[in-house]
Amino acid sequence: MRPTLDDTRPIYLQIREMIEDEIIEGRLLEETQAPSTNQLVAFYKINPATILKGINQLVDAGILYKKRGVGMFVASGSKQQLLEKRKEHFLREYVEPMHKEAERLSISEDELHSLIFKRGGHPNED
Amino acid sequence: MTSKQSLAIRTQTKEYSSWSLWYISIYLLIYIGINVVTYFTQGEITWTFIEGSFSSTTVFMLIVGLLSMGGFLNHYLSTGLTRRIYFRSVLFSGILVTVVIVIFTILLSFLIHGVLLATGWDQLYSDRIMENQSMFPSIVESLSYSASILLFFLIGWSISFGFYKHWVQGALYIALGVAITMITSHPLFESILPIYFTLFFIGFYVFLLHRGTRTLDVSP
Amino acid sequence: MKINFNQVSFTRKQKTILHNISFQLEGPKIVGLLGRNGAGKTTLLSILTAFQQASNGTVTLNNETTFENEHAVEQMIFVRDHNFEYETEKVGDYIETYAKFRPNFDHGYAHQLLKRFRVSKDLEVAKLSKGMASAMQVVIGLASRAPVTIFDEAYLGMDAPARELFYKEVLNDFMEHPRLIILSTHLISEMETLFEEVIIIKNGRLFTHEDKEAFQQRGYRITGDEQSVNEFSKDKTIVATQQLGPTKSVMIYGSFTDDDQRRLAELNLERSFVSLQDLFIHLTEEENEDDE
Repeated sequence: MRPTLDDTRPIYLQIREMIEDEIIEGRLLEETQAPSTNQLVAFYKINPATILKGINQLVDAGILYKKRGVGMFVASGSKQQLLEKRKEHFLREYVEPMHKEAERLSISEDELHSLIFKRGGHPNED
Repeated sequence: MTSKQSLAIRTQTKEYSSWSLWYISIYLLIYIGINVVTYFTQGEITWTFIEGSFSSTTVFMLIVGLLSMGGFLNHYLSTGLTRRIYFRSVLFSGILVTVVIVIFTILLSFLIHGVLLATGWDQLYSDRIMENQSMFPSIVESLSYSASILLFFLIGWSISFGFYKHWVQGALYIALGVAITMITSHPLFESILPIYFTLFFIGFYVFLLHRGTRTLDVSP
Repeated sequence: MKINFNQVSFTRKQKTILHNISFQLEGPKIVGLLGRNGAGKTTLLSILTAFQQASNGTVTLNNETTFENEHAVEQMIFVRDHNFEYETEKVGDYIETYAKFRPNFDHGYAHQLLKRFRVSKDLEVAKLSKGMASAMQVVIGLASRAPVTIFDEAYLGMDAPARELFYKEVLNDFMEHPRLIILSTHLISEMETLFEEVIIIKNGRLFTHEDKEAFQQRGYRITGDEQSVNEFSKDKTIVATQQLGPTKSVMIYGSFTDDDQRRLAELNLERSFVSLQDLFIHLTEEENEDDE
């Protein structure tokens, strides 16, 4: 879990993303219990209504479901669903702007490919 | 009467009673001390328990009244009570404590007189005391004492009420209190049943304080 | 729990402190009452809790007028900074004088809380440090479990760890005993995550009352080339401006539409969110301070 929250973005969104990350990264497995509202309130010191708002969005999206009297559980198939959603997001937020910027800097397709391949090597910025 | 009202009266009375107990104990010690001194200097007891208690009890109740405003009112509202409950509690407790002090003082003076009789020290009473038979008061005197003591309590309360609003009002209530005390204790009026005057002014103050505290602003 | 302020004004000595304030609160909920010093927060709360009477308008709790209403006032507790100079009682006895009149008072919880705040029951109230006195007040406020619990800058004098503990206990106890909790403060950055709704008072007037997140999202910052920024913001409410060379950054208060999104891309501007604290500071700034 992320230790702190960013005060410029809606908190319920951050709660939602945090649970999504836990699922994507495999720390929260399908058909296991998600952290309870009480645990999240105690951890982040946030109003329970705010946390519920984030959790309810996940329920609406089919990522979490409620077991009566027990709590929230991670739905099966949720990891796959999230991965697809995040891939779309990755395309829109990272790949497309990257292509745009590459065009602006007159970086050719081949050059771009080799730059991406070199990732983690020696970034030539700095 | 609601249960909160009666609980508030009991709490208020307990508070006043603990002050009164201190007061009476100190008064008793001073009474004994002074009579021991006069016995050694003049060879007689010049002062009965009841005589001195009247004037000092009026002063004591004046102070109790003075202490009955701001702090208490604020505390009542803070604990989720109303001004009405505050007003009734202070008034009833004031009356109750007045009656209890007067009865207690009379009983004590009987007891002291009894001790003096038993030990033969009653011979030490000064001539003035023997002549006036002022060892203990009559029923009429007791009632009149009680009324005067209560009036002083209300005067004290009204003065602190005045100052609670504004110092000018406080000063006016002091002037009013002094004027009323002069009237009720003036020999001219004393001959024509001063208790009626006293009762009239008690009613007047109760009315005034009731009206005054009904919608009073309290700084939180 | 339903609180209703209907066109409430408060005037004393020819000075109007509150102007025509109307809002409705329905609990259980934690609400932040925000405003600068002197904006009228304490006056508003003391009218609600019947310490003072409104000059105009009505204040009700569950549809009953609160002023001099025994049934209404017993459901509210108003915790605020208080002077204990003359309080010779011990902490334990002092708390007892409150507990007596509070039907839901939880003695066990009060005892635990005192321990957590490290305040001994045997200390004389007048001799408590400022932080300890605040802690004692908070203990009374929480342990009374009043359906409407109000803390008016109750943390004054508490150090940072004690304030953290206070926030934690407010949330814990709220979950176990849901009720309407009103927290009045100007320490927004520390407390904003506690609020579900905010009420903002500015110069004795109601500035806004809404869901905290909704309010916060109505504020945003636009950064970019000066001309483009001016173009984008010409018909918007600008609450703050910053400039660094040719780059300009403005804080805007208002809704952000799809059309705005399109123009943002066209003008090549960047949009970022602002914290509640920043938004509050700029929205409640006095006009003459802007000139500085």
